[in-house]
Amino acid sequence: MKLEISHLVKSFGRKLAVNDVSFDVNGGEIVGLLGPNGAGKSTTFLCAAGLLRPDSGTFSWNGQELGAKRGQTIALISETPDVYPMLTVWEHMVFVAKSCRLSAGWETRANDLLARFQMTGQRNALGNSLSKGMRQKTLVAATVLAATPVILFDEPMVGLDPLGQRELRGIIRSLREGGTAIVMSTHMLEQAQTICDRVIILKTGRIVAEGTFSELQARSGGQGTAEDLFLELTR
Amino acid sequence: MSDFATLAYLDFRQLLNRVRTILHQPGRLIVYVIAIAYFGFLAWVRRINPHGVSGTTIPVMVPEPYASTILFAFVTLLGVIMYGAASGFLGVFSSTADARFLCGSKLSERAVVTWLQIRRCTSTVIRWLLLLIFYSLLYRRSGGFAALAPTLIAGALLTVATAIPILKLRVVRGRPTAQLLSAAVVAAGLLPLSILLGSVIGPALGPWARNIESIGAGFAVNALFGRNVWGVSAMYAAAFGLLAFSYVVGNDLYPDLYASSIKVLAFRRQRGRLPGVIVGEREYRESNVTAIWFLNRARGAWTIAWKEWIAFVRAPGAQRMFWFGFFASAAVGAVLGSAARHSAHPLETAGVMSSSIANVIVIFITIASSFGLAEDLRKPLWWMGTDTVWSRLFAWVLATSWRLSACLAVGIIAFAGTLGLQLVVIAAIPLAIAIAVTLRSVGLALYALMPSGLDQRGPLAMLRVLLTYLCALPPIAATVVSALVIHSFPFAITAGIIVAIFEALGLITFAAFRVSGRGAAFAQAEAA
Repeated sequence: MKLEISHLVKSFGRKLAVNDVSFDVNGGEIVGLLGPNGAGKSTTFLCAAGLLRPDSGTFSWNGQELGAKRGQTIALISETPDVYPMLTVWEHMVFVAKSCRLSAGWETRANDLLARFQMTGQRNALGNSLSKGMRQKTLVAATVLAATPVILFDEPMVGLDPLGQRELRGIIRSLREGGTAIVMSTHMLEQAQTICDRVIILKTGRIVAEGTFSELQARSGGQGTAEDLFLELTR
Repeated sequence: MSDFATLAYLDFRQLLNRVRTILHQPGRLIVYVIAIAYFGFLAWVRRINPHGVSGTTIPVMVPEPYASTILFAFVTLLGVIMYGAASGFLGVFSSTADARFLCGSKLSERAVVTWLQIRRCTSTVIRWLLLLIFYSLLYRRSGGFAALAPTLIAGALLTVATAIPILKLRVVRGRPTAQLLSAAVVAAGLLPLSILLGSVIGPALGPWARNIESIGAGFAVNALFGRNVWGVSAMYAAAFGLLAFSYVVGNDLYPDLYASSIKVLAFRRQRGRLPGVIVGEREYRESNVTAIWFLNRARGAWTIAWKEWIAFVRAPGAQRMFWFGFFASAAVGAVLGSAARHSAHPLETAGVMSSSIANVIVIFITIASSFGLAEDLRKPLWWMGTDTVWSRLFAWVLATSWRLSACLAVGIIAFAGTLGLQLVVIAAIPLAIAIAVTLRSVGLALYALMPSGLDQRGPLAMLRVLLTYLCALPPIAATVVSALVIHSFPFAITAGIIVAIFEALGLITFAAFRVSGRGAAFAQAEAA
């Protein structure tokens, strides 16, 4: 089980946002996509989730090329996790079950997911009354319910309080244990170091480094913190 | 079919929850009750007025060149909407959540695309129906509007239904091709439209206009307005044909629908800060431009005016819309003034036209304007400084009213100038400022009462109309009484303007009282 992104190119007018980016992510692996603002992280995610038309490049899952409908395989949870303001948490689950044609018994799984994410109390809460953390959990629960094998998290920790961050880290780790392929963009280098199995560093649309933190540190002489390493690679 | 059922579930549950939310909030419910009572009152007034009831069978017959003008104006509008879709400006997803859930679902993309089209068409039909009901209740000779309903709705459906096919053309053949086709449609409407309107002002274009009239566009318009079954059916068939075509071509469109929807959603967020129809896409460009000299000297609360000016100068879309409104207003003023001058009773005709235009301004601008201050209120920069909330809101009202004032002023000058009413020409600028500032203040006061964006687009639009009419009464009364007592037009118009300005100041005071110390709460309530 592997997500492969090959030779992705995307430009906006004259600006080349993503320039020949290729990487892969295995099922049960968390990959951190790092880079300064404007490096092309969000553009890569939008292209992968089928919400932006790339100029060129291919996406495949488990060896099979994903076409225009890759949004069914790759789910994006953006920095501003958007839920329907006028649907309750449970109605989001119902809609996902219907739209993804889930087989009988999905209600039990949905209830288990809400309990696992400590959202049973918010079952009947409307989307517009949820905090950012709750909206993220709703989206993750919906994505897991739909059995989407790849999840892209765009800046998931921004705006969350320490407890929310800890909960989300726990959820992401449990998704990894369940075999989900996860790509996470973040500016929080310590978080990335803690949670990611390896990282990819982008700069002005190109990959400048790839590997585990220890590999990258070894390449740069084994000196300094993650921040020093990041600044050196993206300078 | 199950895909459509799932999509129906999505929209039904959202509607149901929206109604439940309103029912659980007595404050918001009161606004809805007032709006419904207002409609009921108007209906009752129409019912006890025999002219209103009999009016439902009044036939509509539009003379040339205006009949042909209507058709070519429709073609121009169709072309403009097509150009918007060709340029990737098309709001089909209602939110980013809509895009995220629908694009990631296993529903057939064709079904989703068609459903999104149906949703937009339904929304258009409901808006038109409400507008037509509103007109039918408001005017004595209301039957004409009711009779026009099937044709107007068919026309609206037709324009909305072109969006997806044009977007698909953009994807398949490229943006230039789609834009070229749309521009050709605009030109096909705009050229004859200009000649027909020009012939009303200057007789030199008369022979050209007669040639255009001989095409039969005016005959078609009158047939459609007369509810010709074949004609109206053909329009509906065309609209439904385009919807069916959307199903056929509605694959591999998600990225383009998402990109275009994001643009429109950003535009809608900004729209609340701009006056009604004089709005534009805020594609900010980098610029070293500075403000005009007196705004550069702005201090304190007037810095808001400087900020708004800089934002306008850096938004090409807003500028395009402003100049379009400015020239359209001048053209409409000149055409109507000329038509009144050539009528049997110029002054009477001008009076009737003025009141009709005033009604159109009140209804369309107040309904179309949705107010929002959240973009400012949630920014600490807006609250820095020692100026009072009143002075900030006053500066904001003036800073966001000048575009509407300019458009109204040029329209009044063109109208009165063509009729040779010099005193009205002289009074045009203060009159336009008074109208625009009052309209803006009414909107601001109601925003201060109910900031929710949901209410702004719903019953508050109707209440804005009602309050605007109520606010119009004192200035009109002051003008009429002054004219009768002192027999001086300049004095009468000055009295009316002064009363209107005082009203506006009162409304701003009310808004300042409500907003003061609760900026963050307002910003949050607006987003809810």
